[in-house]
Amino acid sequence: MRPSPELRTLLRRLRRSRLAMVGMVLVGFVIAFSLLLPLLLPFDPNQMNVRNALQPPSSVHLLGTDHFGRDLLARLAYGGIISLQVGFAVTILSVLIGVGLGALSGFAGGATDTVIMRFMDALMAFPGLLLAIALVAVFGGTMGAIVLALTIVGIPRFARVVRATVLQRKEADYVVAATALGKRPWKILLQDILPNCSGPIIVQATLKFPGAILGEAGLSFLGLGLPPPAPSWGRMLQESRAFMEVAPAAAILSGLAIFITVLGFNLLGDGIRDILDPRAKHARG
Amino acid sequence: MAQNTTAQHSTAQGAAAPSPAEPSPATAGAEPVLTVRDLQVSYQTDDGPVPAVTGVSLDLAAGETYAIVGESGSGKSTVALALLALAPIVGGEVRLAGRDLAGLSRHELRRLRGREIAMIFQEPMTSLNPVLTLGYQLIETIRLHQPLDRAAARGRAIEMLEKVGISDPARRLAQYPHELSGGMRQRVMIAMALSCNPRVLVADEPTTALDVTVQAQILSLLDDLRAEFGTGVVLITHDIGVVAETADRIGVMYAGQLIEEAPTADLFASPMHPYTRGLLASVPRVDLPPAGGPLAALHGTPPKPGKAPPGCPFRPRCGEAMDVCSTMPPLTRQGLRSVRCWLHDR
Repeated sequence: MRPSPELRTLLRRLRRSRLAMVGMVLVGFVIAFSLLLPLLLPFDPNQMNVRNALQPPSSVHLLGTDHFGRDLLARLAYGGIISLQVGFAVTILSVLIGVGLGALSGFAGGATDTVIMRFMDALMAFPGLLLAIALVAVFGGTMGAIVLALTIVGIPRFARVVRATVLQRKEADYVVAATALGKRPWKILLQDILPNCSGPIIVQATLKFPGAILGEAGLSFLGLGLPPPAPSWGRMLQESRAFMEVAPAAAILSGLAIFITVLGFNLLGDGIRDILDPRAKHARG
Repeated sequence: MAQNTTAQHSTAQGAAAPSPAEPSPATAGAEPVLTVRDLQVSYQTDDGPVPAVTGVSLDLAAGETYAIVGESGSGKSTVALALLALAPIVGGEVRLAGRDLAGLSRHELRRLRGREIAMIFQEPMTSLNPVLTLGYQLIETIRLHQPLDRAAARGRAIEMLEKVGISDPARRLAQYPHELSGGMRQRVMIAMALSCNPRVLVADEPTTALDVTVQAQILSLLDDLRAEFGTGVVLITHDIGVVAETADRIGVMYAGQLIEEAPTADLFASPMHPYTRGLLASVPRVDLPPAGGPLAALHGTPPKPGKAPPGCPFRPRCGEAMDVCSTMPPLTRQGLRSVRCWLHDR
């Protein structure tokens, strides 16, 4: 199938939104930085050299070194890979599971709906980061556990958004028409309802992505993320705090990396939401 | 062509026994393809059940066009949905080709829809899925009910688009709904509805959303296809002028009831129910000399569903209301016509 007409309209409108373009540039920069630099730099991000610790920027170490003498630029780039991995994995899993549960809930209705949604309400009753901390404490500090914890935190919002949209689309004329032509209910859900819910799902996903990155940084800042020496931005920020007065570069740069990444994805997500959400102001420029 | 239709339906008809309900005089002789007896439909709301249809009976013969006319809220669209068992039927029966819809499982109903009875809707702009091509939607509908492979179904889709007067049908198959005008989309909906050769086509205000010129085209297209395929057509409309030319018989609905039924010419020549008379008087006629003076209007508004006064629901607006009208008048049959009014209760 060709890209849907909705998607093409979305891309065209996106190019006209200045903030969304800024977001797009930042996101592009972060992705290029994280994926290309590790190929170009001759350093292992975990290679320690204590005699070389806390060096200022030089021609060898472009951004200097941290308190173990590891190349800061390499650690930032590898940290970007971790962040992007978490972002993608959590977003994709939250979308899949959340959309599945929300669609089932909205389409089936009745007791199924009640059970699923009350469970989602219960999950949402916990503060997100606290729930994630508890889950990581249970599952341990591996990549899988972090992704799982952030996904569980992320699912309820998707489920609710998708359920609400499915309830709306269920009344659409083309759904009634498809029913009147004898189409099977599950096919109506997959072909007529869900594709027409893509707008809110995309918006939610673009906001989930920076949320997941921030969540991972938060967990590792608190010491619950990937164990050392993994170059996670949150952990780098936390470790470098002790040396901020002597060598501020590490703390500033890892904080900046988190900031730029989250800002970029948020701007992009806001841009997409402005276009897809008819209630937002200046929705159609 | 009509024989073709019968042959295609032979399997489905195998178990069909003659309808036990007595056929109305209009369809005597030929067994009606669709019979409705005392249909009652009621929607569940937060304020309890709201009756939308409180007694509709009608027969439809193959190849016949039966028009249901009524104001907004008279229950006519609910009748349309009930014919496909898409509205909550709480009483009476709908028999399609001798089979009572109430006795069918959900699976059987699904197989019936699209194959035996199909429906087209008021809003062609929103009745097609915007993210799928016309070809996909059309071919899928055909393969849902007919054992054809993709190529054969595609051929059938092109043939149907040609029949509904769409030019360059092979190219259209790759287009999305937003690339077509409203009239074109309604033609596609008609092609889709008729692609499996249903016995009955329910058309719920099929031309309301269209320009006047396109309206006429769609109506004459429906009429041509009805004649070609022998499909029985139930045409729902609020515009009595729309049905004057195409309908064989007209049923007038008010507050969930069928209050008058007559062959089209008879209804226009001598409406019996005061409501029908008022309805006809409110339509400007080009075939009569101008009466001079404003068009007659019906005073008041129809009762909200479930809020009708006891007795005849039209009583508060009726200029000829009598004491007896506070009890419900029976449906009285007179030859080919029937009417629910104490004025004609003999």
